[in-house]
Amino acid sequence: MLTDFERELSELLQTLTPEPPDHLAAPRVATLPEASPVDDETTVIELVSGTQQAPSRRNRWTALLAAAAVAALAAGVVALTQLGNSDHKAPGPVGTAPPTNVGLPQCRNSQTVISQGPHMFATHGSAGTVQATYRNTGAKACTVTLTSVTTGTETTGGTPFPGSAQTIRIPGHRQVVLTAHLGVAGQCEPLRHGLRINLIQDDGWTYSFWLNVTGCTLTPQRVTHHVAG
Amino acid sequence: MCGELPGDLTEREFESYVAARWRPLLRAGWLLTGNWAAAEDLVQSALARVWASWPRVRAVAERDAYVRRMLTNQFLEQQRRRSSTELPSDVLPESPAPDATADVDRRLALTRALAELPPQQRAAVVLRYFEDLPLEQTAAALGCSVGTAKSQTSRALAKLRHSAHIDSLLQENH
Repeated sequence: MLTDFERELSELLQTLTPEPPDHLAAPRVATLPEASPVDDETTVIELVSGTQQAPSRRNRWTALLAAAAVAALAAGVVALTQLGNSDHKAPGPVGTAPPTNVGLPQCRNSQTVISQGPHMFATHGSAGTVQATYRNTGAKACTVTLTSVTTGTETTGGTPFPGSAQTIRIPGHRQVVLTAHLGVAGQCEPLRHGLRINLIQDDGWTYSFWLNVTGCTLTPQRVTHHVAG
Repeated sequence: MCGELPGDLTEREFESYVAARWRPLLRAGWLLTGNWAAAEDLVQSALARVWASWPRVRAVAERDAYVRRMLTNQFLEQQRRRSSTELPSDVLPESPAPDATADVDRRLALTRALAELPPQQRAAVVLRYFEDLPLEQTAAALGCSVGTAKSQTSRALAKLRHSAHIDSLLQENH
């Protein structure tokens, strides 16, 4: 038996809770190859909606703050998208054949953790950078092979970074910082979501995160990486 | 890398379930988190966990109850982590499109009132008075005893009774 207050509260909750906006469409899940128990901090997953293939894995993106002099343009709640599965290669543009690290095993899903945002897109005049990390939680070194890194509004396609096909060696219990360098024309304005950076792996997974900016023209230039931490 | 993948039938079944439950779950997520972006993240994270155990979940008679439990767990876990590791950063506009309804202020008042509650009490209120669940099912979703669910709900109600936001909303109604 509810009290008057409880009934009124219930009515408020029912009537004031809006219907979700249309752009929040129900995700279509093609495959969810791995969904480990929540063991990471601030895990966010986006299941790609509509006709796209589904992402599914838990990852973390560590916010890597740019140098103090750099203007941080974007924050926003991060949604990390992982796209693809072992049966479906993400159709991103493929650059030159990635170099190989002979003898090193490919990093397993459960072995690598991608840092979770917010990702700070930082500009230095006409240049901009955004960073993300792959962390190897295992004791042994392993490799992640990127067939390309792209930028665009979707998790597929987009404009590739020249020469972004690369095999990244991650020492045991260390992390590799990826830095995407972009040319910036015009004034970038914060916008939740906006453009994406897509890290397209050769195993069919695509890690995608938002730059949270709009209004500027971004030209992919190069992707570098270095071991840290 | 992918482990064991369920068959197409299971996958379609899951997608069908998600399609049917997506909007109600999002609305509950909105009440819990106070904004659509976080609600979407929350529901998707919960659904990923549901998917991970879908072969088991699909056989559960009270499937919705199980999913509610996952959603509540996910919310409470996120809140725990956020309190120590994450700085709120959703400072950008929810949507560039203006909400033309007169309910904007009222919704804001509602979310602010709920935000004043500790996460478990907030979840209890949403389950009990938005989902209209009896105490037993509220307790199941919260993963606690009926007694604890009752006390969490009572404490939440006591706070909401003294909330200026709720007070203003109710006065408008009268």
